[in-house]
Amino acid sequence: MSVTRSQDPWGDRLLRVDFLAGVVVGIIAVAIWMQAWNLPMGEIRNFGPGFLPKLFGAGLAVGATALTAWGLLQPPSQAERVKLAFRGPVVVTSGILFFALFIRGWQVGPIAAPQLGLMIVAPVTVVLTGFGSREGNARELLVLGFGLTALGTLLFADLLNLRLPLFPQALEPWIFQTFGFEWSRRYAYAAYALITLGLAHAFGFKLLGSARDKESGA
Amino acid sequence: MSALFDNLALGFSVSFSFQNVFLCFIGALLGTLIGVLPGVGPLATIAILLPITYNVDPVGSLIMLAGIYYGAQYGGSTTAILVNMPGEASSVVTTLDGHAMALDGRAGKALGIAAIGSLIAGSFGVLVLAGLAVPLSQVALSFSASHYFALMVLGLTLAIVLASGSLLKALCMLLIGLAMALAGADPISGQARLTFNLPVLYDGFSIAIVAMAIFGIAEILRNLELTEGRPAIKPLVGRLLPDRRDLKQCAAPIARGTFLGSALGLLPGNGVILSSFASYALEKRLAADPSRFGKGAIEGVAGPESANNAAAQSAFIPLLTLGLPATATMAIMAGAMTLHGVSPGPQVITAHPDLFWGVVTSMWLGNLMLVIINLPLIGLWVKFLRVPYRLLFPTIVLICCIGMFSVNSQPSDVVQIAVFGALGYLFFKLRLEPTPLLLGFVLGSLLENNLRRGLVLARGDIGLFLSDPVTLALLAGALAILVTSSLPSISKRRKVLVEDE
Repeated sequence: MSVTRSQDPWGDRLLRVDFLAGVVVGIIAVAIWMQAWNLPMGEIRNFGPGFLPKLFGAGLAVGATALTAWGLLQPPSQAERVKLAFRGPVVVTSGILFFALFIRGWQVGPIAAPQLGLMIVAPVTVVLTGFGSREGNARELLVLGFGLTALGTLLFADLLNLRLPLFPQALEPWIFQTFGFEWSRRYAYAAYALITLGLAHAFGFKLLGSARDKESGA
Repeated sequence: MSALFDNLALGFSVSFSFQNVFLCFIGALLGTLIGVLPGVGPLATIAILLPITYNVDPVGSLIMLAGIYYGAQYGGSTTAILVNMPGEASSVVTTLDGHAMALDGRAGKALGIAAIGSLIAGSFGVLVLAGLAVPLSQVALSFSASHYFALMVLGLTLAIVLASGSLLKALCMLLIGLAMALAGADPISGQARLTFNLPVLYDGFSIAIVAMAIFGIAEILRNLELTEGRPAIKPLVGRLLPDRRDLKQCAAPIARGTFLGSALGLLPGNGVILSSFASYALEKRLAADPSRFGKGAIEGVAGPESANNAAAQSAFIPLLTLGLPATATMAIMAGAMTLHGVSPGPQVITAHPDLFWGVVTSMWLGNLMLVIINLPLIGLWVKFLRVPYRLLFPTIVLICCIGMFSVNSQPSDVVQIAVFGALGYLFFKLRLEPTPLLLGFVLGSLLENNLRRGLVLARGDIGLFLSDPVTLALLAGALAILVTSSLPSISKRRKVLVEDE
């Protein structure tokens, strides 16, 4: 908790937690109000779809005003400066968005993402997401990525039989023709399991108990 | 009384089917497994695992979710005892004496008494739930729409007053949640509202996505800021089971904790947390030698652990009998019921007796399962505790992505996880509590329907609407609570209470 100095300039006040909370609530209130603008209010006897959204939006606007005012006027001893991290949130959300865009391909406006399938998307998501932590380590994450993909395919695609696109769309016909629809996924996770073991060996990790070994060393 | 036993017998006949015992087992196992992982609390566990219960029938999926809930709760106590890291707020007090016992080489006994206390409290809680369910739901069935509306207002008011942090912020979050519930097609006119012209929002927001993002992903984003402290775990020494002397010492604390928890668990907001603190304080006051507390007193583990489990049990009562979830966890359960086409409320008992009694009796089964799973597997859980967070969180993110995508094969669902995750992180940073948002989100459309129906029945006359004594009393109660808790002197005391926790 950081306590701001007693004669802080106004710029400092704008970074207070309560003030910014008021701003965020205010933005949401405006968004709700704009969306509800054209919806009919109806009458009390039988109110329309716009009644409660407008009511809640108005309530939020009042709350936002009170929060921003309190944030600006509160005594500095009670003020708290907001501290936002960027690396974690930005990297992890990009990882999730990558998964969303490429798992089965997606056309959003002018951007057309091709289907890459779980076998490619999952390891990339793991490695990408892993760098959201300052302790992210490419070798560890590669092993984890391939291992989790192998396990995930076995569990979700084979045992639970969920319909997940596994391969890039361009390669799908060829893969299914060569290895068969059912068996291609089994070859895939078997291959990934082997890659995991190979990488772990090459990097000198002991798969079961690597964490323990490091800890006993520390 | 015999009707109660008939009902319980019906319930056991459902919950003891092979499939349901298996699902209960898997749920408790998965719940413990994820709940024991450092930095993943019960709420996040349920939110993360919710999609995997989609493929099961309604009874099975609720049984599994309940199992996950207990498992995660118990997993939190395990980490509290072994590494002094409470998985969630309700096991904070368990760290005091539980971890002291572990340092003393009595970790096994602490874990054992926690499991036994939880089983006894859980069994009693199931009886309370079974006994209160029918009368309470009959009262609720006689409620008119306006009564229901007023009851919801009262419940939500209590929930924001008892929530931690600023009252004003909790109120704002509640309103945001209520507004989110209205997004999608209007139930009467079919008009799209609050959809921001996005076709995917025409069906509204999904509770599974919102809960997973705000309680799962946002929690990860928060945890990433903490530098990783590797907790030192003492090797497990000592007997795993408490001996006769311990049991004798703990019998009364377990009983007191059970009663306290069963009663306090009914409170909206954080009854579960409150009950464990109250039980600890009570045991300390009643003890012949209070100075032992904090240094490994076994009653300091037995009481609160029983209390929080009993409370976890009775927290189901408002949901299953009135259809009003009182905690964030119950809000997710309510969402899960709705997803399976069972709208929670007093009609569940009569319309789906097999579901209701099956789930209730499976709770007892789940508590028993925990003891059976946990005591022999404790060594395995200790290993899971050592998984470094830098490997854990990419795994959880991937499970969330695959789980949510597999439900509808909609990439936009996964995008929403990213968006709400980031938003949840921002909310946390601005000290905006997400629990009222979730409660509001689950109750929003019910609130609107009942208000509309109530006003239609009153022919638009607000005076007539308020003239009903029950409606008026409930609304007046809500107003009184809101006003008194925002008075300066009481809000100060409320702050102290919250900060003590």
